[in-house]
Amino acid sequence: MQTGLKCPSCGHANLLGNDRCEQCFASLMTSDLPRPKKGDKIQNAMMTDPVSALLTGADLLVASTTDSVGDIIRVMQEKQKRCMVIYKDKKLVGIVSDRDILFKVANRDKDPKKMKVESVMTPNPEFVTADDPIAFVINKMAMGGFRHVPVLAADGTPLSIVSIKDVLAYLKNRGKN
Amino acid sequence: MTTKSVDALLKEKKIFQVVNPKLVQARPEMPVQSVIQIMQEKQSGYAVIAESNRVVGIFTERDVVMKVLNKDVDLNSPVSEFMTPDPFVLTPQDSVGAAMDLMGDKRFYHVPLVNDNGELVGILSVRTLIRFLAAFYPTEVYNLPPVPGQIMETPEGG
Repeated sequence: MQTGLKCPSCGHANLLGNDRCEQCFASLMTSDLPRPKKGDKIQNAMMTDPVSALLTGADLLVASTTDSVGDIIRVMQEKQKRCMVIYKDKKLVGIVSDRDILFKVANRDKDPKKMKVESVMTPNPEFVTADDPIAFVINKMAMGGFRHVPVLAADGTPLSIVSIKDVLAYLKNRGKN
Repeated sequence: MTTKSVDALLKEKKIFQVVNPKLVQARPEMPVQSVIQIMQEKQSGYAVIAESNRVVGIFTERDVVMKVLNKDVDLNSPVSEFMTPDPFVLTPQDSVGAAMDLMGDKRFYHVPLVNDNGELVGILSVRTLIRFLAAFYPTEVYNLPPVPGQIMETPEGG
Protein backbone atom coordinates (compact mmCIF):
# COMPACT_ATOMS: atom_id res chain seq x y z
CA MET A 1 0.00 0.00 0.00
CA GLN A 2 1.29 3.39 -0.93
CA THR A 3 1.09 6.08 1.70
CA GLY A 4 1.89 9.72 1.34
CA LEU A 5 3.49 11.23 -1.67
CA LYS A 6 5.98 9.17 -3.61
CA CYS A 7 8.97 11.17 -4.80
CA PRO A 8 9.24 10.89 -8.58
CA SER A 9 13.06 10.78 -8.52
CA CYS A 10 14.04 8.69 -5.47
CA GLY A 11 10.80 6.99 -4.50
CA HIS A 12 10.84 8.18 -0.88
CA ALA A 13 7.38 8.29 0.69
CA ASN A 14 6.88 11.87 1.82
CA LEU A 15 4.12 13.37 3.92
CA LEU A 16 1.20 14.53 1.84
CA GLY A 17 1.48 18.20 1.06
CA ASN A 18 5.27 18.40 1.13
CA ASP A 19 6.73 20.71 -1.46
CA ARG A 20 10.12 19.01 -1.61
CA CYS A 21 11.23 15.44 -1.08
CA GLU A 22 12.66 15.00 2.41
CA GLN A 23 15.32 12.65 1.16
CA CYS A 24 16.58 14.06 -2.13
CA PHE A 25 15.01 17.57 -2.17
CA ALA A 26 13.46 17.06 -5.60
CA SER A 27 10.46 19.30 -6.17
CA LEU A 28 7.08 17.66 -5.58
CA MET A 29 5.12 20.60 -6.91
CA THR A 30 4.09 18.90 -10.12
CA SER A 31 2.88 15.65 -8.62
CA ASP A 32 -0.70 16.86 -8.17
CA LEU A 33 -1.23 18.10 -11.69
CA PRO A 34 -3.50 15.88 -13.71
CA ARG A 35 -1.54 13.92 -16.25
CA PRO A 36 -2.69 11.85 -19.17
CA LYS A 37 -2.42 8.10 -18.71
CA LYS A 38 -0.15 6.23 -21.03
CA GLY A 39 -2.04 4.49 -23.78
CA ASP A 40 -5.23 6.50 -23.35
CA LYS A 41 -5.11 8.31 -26.66
CA ILE A 42 -8.31 10.26 -26.22
CA GLN A 43 -7.18 11.51 -22.84
CA ASN A 44 -3.78 12.41 -24.22
CA ALA A 45 -5.32 14.30 -27.10
CA MET A 46 -7.63 16.21 -24.77
CA MET A 47 -4.91 17.32 -22.40
CA THR A 48 -1.98 17.92 -24.69
CA ASP A 49 -3.29 18.88 -28.11
CA PRO A 50 -4.09 22.56 -28.57
CA VAL A 51 -7.41 23.83 -29.85
CA SER A 52 -5.57 24.96 -32.99
CA ALA A 53 -5.35 21.29 -34.02
CA LEU A 54 -9.12 21.36 -34.53
CA LEU A 55 -9.19 24.38 -36.77
CA THR A 56 -9.86 23.94 -40.41
CA GLY A 57 -9.41 27.57 -41.36
CA ALA A 58 -12.06 28.85 -43.68
CA ASP A 59 -15.08 28.53 -41.48
CA LEU A 60 -15.49 31.77 -39.65
CA LEU A 61 -18.21 34.29 -40.33
CA VAL A 62 -18.00 37.63 -38.62
CA ALA A 63 -20.79 40.20 -38.48
CA SER A 64 -21.29 43.48 -36.70
CA THR A 65 -23.97 44.32 -34.13
CA THR A 66 -25.74 46.67 -36.49
CA ASP A 67 -26.28 44.14 -39.27
CA SER A 68 -29.85 43.02 -39.71
CA VAL A 69 -30.99 39.56 -38.78
CA GLY A 70 -32.21 39.14 -42.35
CA ASP A 71 -28.64 39.59 -43.62
CA ILE A 72 -27.33 37.10 -41.09
CA ILE A 73 -29.86 34.51 -42.18
CA ARG A 74 -29.02 35.10 -45.83
CA VAL A 75 -25.28 34.66 -45.21
CA MET A 76 -25.88 31.52 -43.17
CA GLN A 77 -27.97 30.11 -46.00
CA GLU A 78 -25.40 30.96 -48.65
CA LYS A 79 -22.40 29.69 -46.72
CA GLN A 80 -24.25 26.73 -45.19
CA LYS A 81 -23.18 27.73 -41.70
CA ARG A 82 -24.89 27.33 -38.37
CA CYS A 83 -23.16 30.01 -36.43
CA MET A 84 -21.60 33.50 -36.66
CA VAL A 85 -19.57 35.59 -34.27
CA ILE A 86 -20.50 39.22 -33.71
CA TYR A 87 -17.88 41.91 -33.32
CA LYS A 88 -18.12 45.51 -32.25
CA ASP A 89 -15.12 47.82 -32.12
CA LYS A 90 -12.86 44.84 -32.74
CA LYS A 91 -14.18 43.12 -29.63
CA LEU A 92 -16.12 39.88 -29.50
CA VAL A 93 -19.54 40.81 -28.16
CA GLY A 94 -21.81 37.98 -29.20
CA ILE A 95 -22.55 34.84 -31.12
CA VAL A 96 -25.58 33.96 -33.20
CA SER A 97 -26.44 30.36 -33.92
CA ASP A 98 -29.36 28.79 -35.69
CA ARG A 99 -30.72 28.04 -32.24
CA ASP A 100 -30.93 31.75 -31.40
CA ILE A 101 -32.69 32.36 -34.68
CA LEU A 102 -35.19 29.57 -34.06
CA PHE A 103 -36.04 30.83 -30.58
CA LYS A 104 -35.98 34.57 -31.16
CA VAL A 105 -36.81 35.19 -34.81
CA ALA A 106 -38.98 32.41 -36.24
CA ASN A 107 -42.72 32.91 -35.90
CA ARG A 108 -42.38 36.50 -34.73
CA ASP A 109 -44.41 39.19 -36.38
CA LYS A 110 -41.37 41.38 -36.83
CA ASP A 111 -39.59 41.36 -40.16
CA PRO A 112 -36.08 39.88 -39.69
CA LYS A 113 -34.72 42.52 -42.04
CA LYS A 114 -35.71 45.16 -39.53
CA MET A 115 -34.29 43.36 -36.51
CA LYS A 116 -30.78 44.14 -35.36
CA VAL A 117 -28.38 41.31 -34.60
CA GLU A 118 -27.91 42.76 -31.13
CA SER A 119 -31.43 41.76 -30.17
CA VAL A 120 -31.03 38.08 -30.98
CA MET A 121 -27.38 37.28 -30.32
CA THR A 122 -26.14 35.51 -27.23
CA PRO A 123 -24.03 38.25 -25.63
CA ASN A 124 -20.55 37.77 -24.15
CA PRO A 125 -19.99 34.22 -25.29
CA GLU A 126 -17.41 31.95 -23.75
CA PHE A 127 -14.35 31.57 -25.93
CA VAL A 128 -11.01 29.79 -25.99
CA THR A 129 -7.64 30.71 -27.42
CA ALA A 130 -5.82 28.66 -30.03
CA ASP A 131 -3.18 27.45 -27.54
CA ASP A 132 -5.62 26.14 -24.95
CA PRO A 133 -5.84 22.37 -24.62
CA ILE A 134 -8.86 20.69 -26.16
CA ALA A 135 -10.09 19.84 -22.67
CA PHE A 136 -10.86 23.55 -22.22
CA VAL A 137 -13.21 23.64 -25.12
CA ILE A 138 -14.93 20.45 -23.94
CA ASN A 139 -15.31 22.07 -20.54
CA LYS A 140 -17.07 25.11 -22.03
CA MET A 141 -19.30 22.94 -24.16
CA ALA A 142 -20.28 20.59 -21.35
CA MET A 143 -20.80 23.27 -18.71
CA GLY A 144 -22.59 25.82 -20.83
CA GLY A 145 -24.31 23.55 -23.31
CA PHE A 146 -22.70 25.37 -26.21
CA ARG A 147 -22.31 23.59 -29.50
CA HIS A 148 -20.06 26.26 -30.93
CA VAL A 149 -17.22 28.04 -29.18
CA PRO A 150 -15.27 30.86 -30.86
CA VAL A 151 -11.49 30.58 -30.97
CA LEU A 152 -9.54 33.80 -30.62
CA ALA A 153 -5.90 34.66 -31.15
CA ALA A 154 -4.03 36.09 -28.17
CA ASP A 155 -4.87 39.65 -29.25
CA GLY A 156 -8.58 38.97 -29.55
CA THR A 157 -8.87 38.65 -33.30
CA PRO A 158 -11.25 35.91 -34.34
CA LEU A 159 -9.63 32.79 -35.73
CA SER A 160 -12.38 30.26 -36.01
CA ILE A 161 -15.28 28.47 -34.42
CA VAL A 162 -15.00 25.01 -32.94
CA SER A 163 -18.11 22.88 -32.97
CA ILE A 164 -18.88 19.77 -30.96
CA LYS A 165 -18.72 17.87 -34.21
CA ASP A 166 -15.10 19.00 -34.75
CA VAL A 167 -14.20 17.82 -31.26
CA LEU A 168 -15.88 14.44 -31.59
CA ALA A 169 -14.40 13.81 -35.02
CA TYR A 170 -10.92 14.75 -33.83
CA LEU A 171 -11.02 12.64 -30.68
CA LYS A 172 -12.43 9.74 -32.59
CA ASN A 173 -9.56 9.85 -35.09
CA ARG A 174 -6.96 10.29 -32.40
CA GLY A 175 -8.41 7.37 -30.48
CA LYS A 176 -8.05 5.06 -33.44
CA ASN A 177 -4.49 5.56 -34.66
CA MET B 1 -6.26 -2.83 -11.02
CA THR B 2 -6.98 -3.56 -14.64
CA THR B 3 -7.69 -0.62 -16.86
CA LYS B 4 -9.63 -1.00 -20.04
CA SER B 5 -8.91 1.06 -23.08
CA VAL B 6 -11.19 4.01 -23.65
CA ASP B 7 -12.21 2.57 -26.94
CA ALA B 8 -13.48 -0.56 -25.19
CA LEU B 9 -15.29 1.50 -22.56
CA LEU B 10 -16.97 3.66 -25.18
CA LYS B 11 -18.09 0.53 -26.95
CA GLU B 12 -19.39 -0.96 -23.74
CA LYS B 13 -21.38 2.07 -22.67
CA LYS B 14 -24.82 1.98 -24.25
CA ILE B 15 -26.83 4.95 -25.36
CA PHE B 16 -29.77 4.18 -23.06
CA GLN B 17 -27.43 4.64 -20.10
CA VAL B 18 -26.66 8.23 -20.96
CA VAL B 19 -29.68 9.53 -22.83
CA ASN B 20 -31.80 12.44 -21.73
CA PRO B 21 -35.50 11.46 -21.37
CA LYS B 22 -36.77 14.60 -23.08
CA LEU B 23 -38.27 14.01 -26.51
CA VAL B 24 -40.08 16.52 -28.70
CA GLN B 25 -42.14 15.14 -31.54
CA ALA B 26 -44.68 16.27 -34.08
CA ARG B 27 -46.74 14.75 -36.88
CA PRO B 28 -45.84 15.27 -40.55
CA GLU B 29 -49.12 16.97 -41.45
CA MET B 30 -48.77 19.66 -38.80
CA PRO B 31 -48.23 23.19 -40.15
CA VAL B 32 -44.62 24.25 -39.91
CA GLN B 33 -45.68 27.24 -37.86
CA SER B 34 -47.06 25.15 -35.02
CA VAL B 35 -44.05 22.84 -35.01
CA ILE B 36 -41.78 25.86 -34.57
CA GLN B 37 -44.04 27.01 -31.78
CA ILE B 38 -43.75 23.64 -30.04
CA MET B 39 -39.97 23.76 -30.35
CA GLN B 40 -39.88 27.25 -28.89
CA GLU B 41 -42.12 26.29 -25.99
CA LYS B 42 -40.12 23.20 -25.18
CA GLN B 43 -36.82 25.02 -25.72
CA SER B 44 -35.72 22.36 -28.10
CA GLY B 45 -33.68 22.71 -31.26
CA TYR B 46 -35.33 19.79 -33.01
CA ALA B 47 -38.63 17.99 -33.43
CA VAL B 48 -38.77 14.37 -34.47
CA ILE B 49 -41.47 13.98 -37.09
CA ALA B 50 -43.23 10.69 -36.48
CA GLU B 51 -46.34 9.00 -37.73
CA SER B 52 -47.87 6.36 -35.46
CA ASN B 53 -44.51 6.02 -33.70
CA ARG B 54 -42.50 5.56 -36.90
CA VAL B 55 -39.83 8.15 -37.58
CA VAL B 56 -40.45 9.78 -40.93
CA GLY B 57 -38.18 12.77 -40.57
CA ILE B 58 -36.51 15.29 -38.32
CA PHE B 59 -37.05 19.03 -38.34
CA THR B 60 -34.32 21.08 -36.69
CA GLU B 61 -33.23 24.63 -36.15
CA ARG B 62 -31.03 24.19 -39.20
CA ASP B 63 -34.04 23.45 -41.39
CA VAL B 64 -35.74 26.53 -39.98
CA VAL B 65 -32.81 28.74 -40.92
CA MET B 66 -32.08 27.12 -44.26
CA LYS B 67 -35.55 26.48 -45.62
CA VAL B 68 -38.16 28.55 -43.81
CA LEU B 69 -36.82 31.99 -42.98
CA ASN B 70 -36.25 34.62 -45.68
CA LYS B 71 -37.82 32.27 -48.19
CA ASP B 72 -41.32 33.57 -48.59
CA VAL B 73 -42.85 30.25 -47.58
CA ASP B 74 -46.38 29.61 -46.42
CA LEU B 75 -46.12 28.94 -42.71
CA ASN B 76 -49.28 26.88 -42.86
CA SER B 77 -47.83 24.27 -45.17
CA PRO B 78 -47.11 20.93 -43.55
CA VAL B 79 -43.80 20.41 -41.82
CA SER B 80 -43.13 17.39 -44.00
CA GLU B 81 -42.18 19.77 -46.81
CA PHE B 82 -39.33 21.21 -44.78
CA MET B 83 -38.14 18.33 -42.66
CA THR B 84 -35.11 16.18 -43.39
CA PRO B 85 -36.77 12.92 -44.43
CA ASP B 86 -35.62 9.48 -43.28
CA PRO B 87 -32.88 10.60 -40.89
CA PHE B 88 -30.16 8.32 -39.56
CA VAL B 89 -31.35 6.50 -36.46
CA LEU B 90 -29.66 4.58 -33.68
CA THR B 91 -31.05 2.12 -31.17
CA PRO B 92 -30.75 2.58 -27.41
CA GLN B 93 -28.59 -0.56 -27.38
CA ASP B 94 -26.00 0.99 -29.70
CA SER B 95 -22.80 2.07 -28.03
CA VAL B 96 -21.81 5.61 -27.17
CA GLY B 97 -18.73 5.06 -29.32
CA ALA B 98 -20.90 4.34 -32.35
CA ALA B 99 -22.88 7.52 -31.71
CA MET B 100 -19.68 9.55 -31.47
CA ASP B 101 -18.52 8.05 -34.75
CA LEU B 102 -21.78 8.93 -36.47
CA MET B 103 -21.98 12.48 -35.14
CA GLY B 104 -18.31 13.12 -35.87
CA ASP B 105 -18.71 11.96 -39.45
CA LYS B 106 -21.93 13.66 -40.34
CA ARG B 107 -23.34 17.02 -39.44
CA PHE B 108 -26.01 15.68 -37.12
CA TYR B 109 -26.65 17.23 -33.79
CA HIS B 110 -29.67 15.05 -33.04
CA VAL B 111 -30.21 11.39 -33.83
CA PRO B 112 -33.58 9.74 -33.15
CA LEU B 113 -33.50 6.45 -31.27
CA VAL B 114 -35.73 3.58 -32.35
CA ASN B 115 -36.27 0.18 -30.77
CA ASP B 116 -36.13 -3.19 -32.48
CA ASN B 117 -39.63 -2.75 -33.84
CA GLY B 118 -38.75 0.54 -35.44
CA GLU B 119 -40.72 2.57 -32.91
CA LEU B 120 -39.47 5.98 -31.81
CA VAL B 121 -38.24 5.80 -28.21
CA GLY B 122 -35.96 8.77 -27.73
CA ILE B 123 -33.42 11.18 -29.10
CA LEU B 124 -29.70 11.49 -28.60
CA SER B 125 -28.32 14.99 -28.76
CA VAL B 126 -24.71 15.85 -29.37
CA ARG B 127 -24.65 17.78 -26.13
CA THR B 128 -25.52 14.65 -24.21
CA LEU B 129 -22.45 13.08 -25.76
CA ILE B 130 -20.09 15.89 -24.89
CA ARG B 131 -21.40 15.93 -21.32
CA PHE B 132 -20.82 12.21 -21.14
CA LEU B 133 -17.28 12.71 -22.37
CA ALA B 134 -16.69 15.46 -19.82
CA ALA B 135 -18.00 13.27 -17.02
CA PHE B 136 -15.82 10.46 -18.31
CA TYR B 137 -12.72 12.57 -17.79
CA PRO B 138 -13.70 14.77 -14.86
CA THR B 139 -10.22 15.70 -13.64
CA GLU B 140 -8.98 16.46 -17.09
CA VAL B 141 -11.91 18.52 -18.23
CA TYR B 142 -13.04 20.24 -15.06
CA ASN B 143 -9.79 20.46 -13.22
CA LEU B 144 -7.15 21.45 -15.70
CA PRO B 145 -4.54 24.05 -14.67
CA PRO B 146 -5.18 27.38 -16.41
CA VAL B 147 -1.84 27.18 -18.20
CA PRO B 148 -1.15 23.74 -19.64
CA GLY B 149 2.11 22.29 -18.42
CA GLN B 150 2.25 24.84 -15.66
CA ILE B 151 4.70 24.10 -12.85
CA MET B 152 4.35 26.12 -9.68
CA GLU B 153 7.74 27.57 -8.81
CA THR B 154 6.89 28.57 -5.27
CA PRO B 155 4.37 27.19 -2.82
CA GLU B 156 0.96 28.83 -2.94
CA GLY B 157 1.07 32.24 -1.28
CA GLY B 158 4.85 32.13 -1.13
